[in-house]
Amino acid sequence: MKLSGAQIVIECLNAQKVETIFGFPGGAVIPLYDALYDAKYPMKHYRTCHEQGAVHAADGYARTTGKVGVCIVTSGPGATNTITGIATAYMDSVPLVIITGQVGRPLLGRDSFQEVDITAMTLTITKHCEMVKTASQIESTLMRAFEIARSGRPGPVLIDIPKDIMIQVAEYRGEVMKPNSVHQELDHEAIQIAIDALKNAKNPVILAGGGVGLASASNVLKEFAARSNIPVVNTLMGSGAFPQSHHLSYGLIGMHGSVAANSCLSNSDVILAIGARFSDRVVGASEKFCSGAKIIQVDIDINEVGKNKEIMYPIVGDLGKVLSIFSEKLDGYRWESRSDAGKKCDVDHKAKQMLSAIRQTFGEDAIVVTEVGQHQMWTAQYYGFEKTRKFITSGGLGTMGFGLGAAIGSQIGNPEQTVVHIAGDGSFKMNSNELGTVSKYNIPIKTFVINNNALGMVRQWQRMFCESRFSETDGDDSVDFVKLAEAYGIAGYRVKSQEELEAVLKKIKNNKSPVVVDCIIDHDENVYPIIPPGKGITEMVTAFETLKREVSL
Amino acid sequence: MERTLRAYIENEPEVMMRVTALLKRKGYSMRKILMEADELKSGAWLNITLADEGPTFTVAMNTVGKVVDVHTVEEI
Ligand SMILES: Cc1ncc(C[n+]2csc(CCOP(=O)(O)OP(=O)(O)O)c2C)c(N)n1
Ligand SMILES: [Mg+2]
Repeated sequence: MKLSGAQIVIECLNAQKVETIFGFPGGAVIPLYDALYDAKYPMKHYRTCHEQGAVHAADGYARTTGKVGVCIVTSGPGATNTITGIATAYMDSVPLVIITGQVGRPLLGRDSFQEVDITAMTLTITKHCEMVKTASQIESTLMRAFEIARSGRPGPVLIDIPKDIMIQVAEYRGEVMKPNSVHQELDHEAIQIAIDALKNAKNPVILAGGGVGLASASNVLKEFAARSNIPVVNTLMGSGAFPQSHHLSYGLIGMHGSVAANSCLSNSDVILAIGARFSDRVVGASEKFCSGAKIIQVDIDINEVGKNKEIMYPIVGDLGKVLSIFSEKLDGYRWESRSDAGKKCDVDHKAKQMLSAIRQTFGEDAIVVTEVGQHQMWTAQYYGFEKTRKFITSGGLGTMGFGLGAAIGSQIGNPEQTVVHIAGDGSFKMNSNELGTVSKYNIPIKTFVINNNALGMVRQWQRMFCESRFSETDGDDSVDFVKLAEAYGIAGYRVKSQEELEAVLKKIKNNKSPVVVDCIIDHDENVYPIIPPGKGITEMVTAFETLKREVSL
Repeated sequence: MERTLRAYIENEPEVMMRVTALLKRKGYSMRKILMEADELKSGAWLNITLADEGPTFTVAMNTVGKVVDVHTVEEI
């Protein structure tokens, strides 16, 4: 079948069963949008207000549905606006296909209007990127892009298509690509050695990371933990990998992890890490991290094992498969229950109470999307996640402004579920323009701005590490979020107390329309515990103290 | 001690750029880079000599090996 390059793009998206596209048009993608004009149900394009929002939306869609997120933008500024979104997805291993328009081939390399070398710019933040050179290559390139994005360790793929190629006619073959399941042979000997090490453990622990959700291995994990009675701690990205209400769960570890989780981890002699990369936010000072423990690290990506921490027992492979083998070979092994000491958390403050009221209203099945800062950490600490794909947050890059776009994508991908967007006032201001998208498509996201009128997380560090010299982190009350919401035709509320919040929650609980609730809290509320950067996980600080100026921020 | 890896890659500058950018980010010091088109098979040979700095040579081989459009990697 002879089609234009642009039509071939749409056919490929159809072949990949893409129903949802996020994007923003422009000169270099006019042919593509022209072809999109004829696209049939169920394919639907959502136009965001900014390309960054489009990528975050595709990202939220992918994280919550497990499908590949798709995004189309124009050349030049359209393409550069995607960069933060792409890097965010890359750091958290989210499968995306980003299609960028490019100036026509005769104009390449001449500093033409809206020409940037986007493949060069995104080399180190994509799993793969390439420019298509002829119309006849579009089909194979795009089909392969989807395969690359979702296979193995997922990640974003960028395909740059020059405008003249979109108009060129080529043969569309409609070939079905065999999923190139790069079958990874498991190293059974390595697995056996690790299992033997675990058998000899006195106090083993399972460390669940974001990979558990990506590999859909949480059921296998639950079963294995329950059978062996091994306690489970989770990283930020591993929130929900194991139900946090389970008696074996000790909760969040790392910089803002709980006392119970961090001490459970540091009192263990064997750590079974599943899909966790031992980032600096988890490990703190690498040499002080669980120095007495033997570490078994299971990951799909060979480049992850031992990257941040010396590993005694590396295992590369599919997490579910490896865990099943552990489960099978350790049948009958049951460890003694560990102490519950420290599990009851006695920290209490307004933000925590507010989050708990939100949790009670919307329940464990709601998808919770955050921005970046204190509100994000409080959500991870106190919300209580029971399932994977429910806590959507920018863990790796820590992108302020991620939340609203990601909430849009999450809601569109899961129309039957409630999407709760927990924002900070600073982060919300970064991409609040996407309220335009929320309003346009009437996307019933529930936004709660945990408003401390401050760049709270940075302010907290200045308080702790810079003798309270608050440099550029205090807010100025410059935006009235209620009026802002109303300007977009969205209901806005302001609440100053728990009672006010509960009254609003009652009102909006069953609403099928978007809402913004501005929740006022104090700017001196801090996130505790905190392990100061460069410190070991036993050097946790649980209440305010001014610490030495940090060199390794 | 310097060690050299040899990869068979798609004959596109982007592949070489991605490989070298990754190695740079991981802190390797590259002493010699040579990319040569393989006229027969439309691919290219990419030889990179690394100084004994940064993570281990095995990590470098694994890193390069995982790049899409890198077909094989070996030490020479
Ligand atoms: C794009 C971006 N710029 C800067 C930062 C650094 N940063 C991390 S947290 C934070 C404060 C966030 O403020 P807010 O959204 O109000 O959240 P809060 O900490 O007050 O809850 C800043 C500035 C970042 N993470 N991302
Ligand atoms: Mg704030």
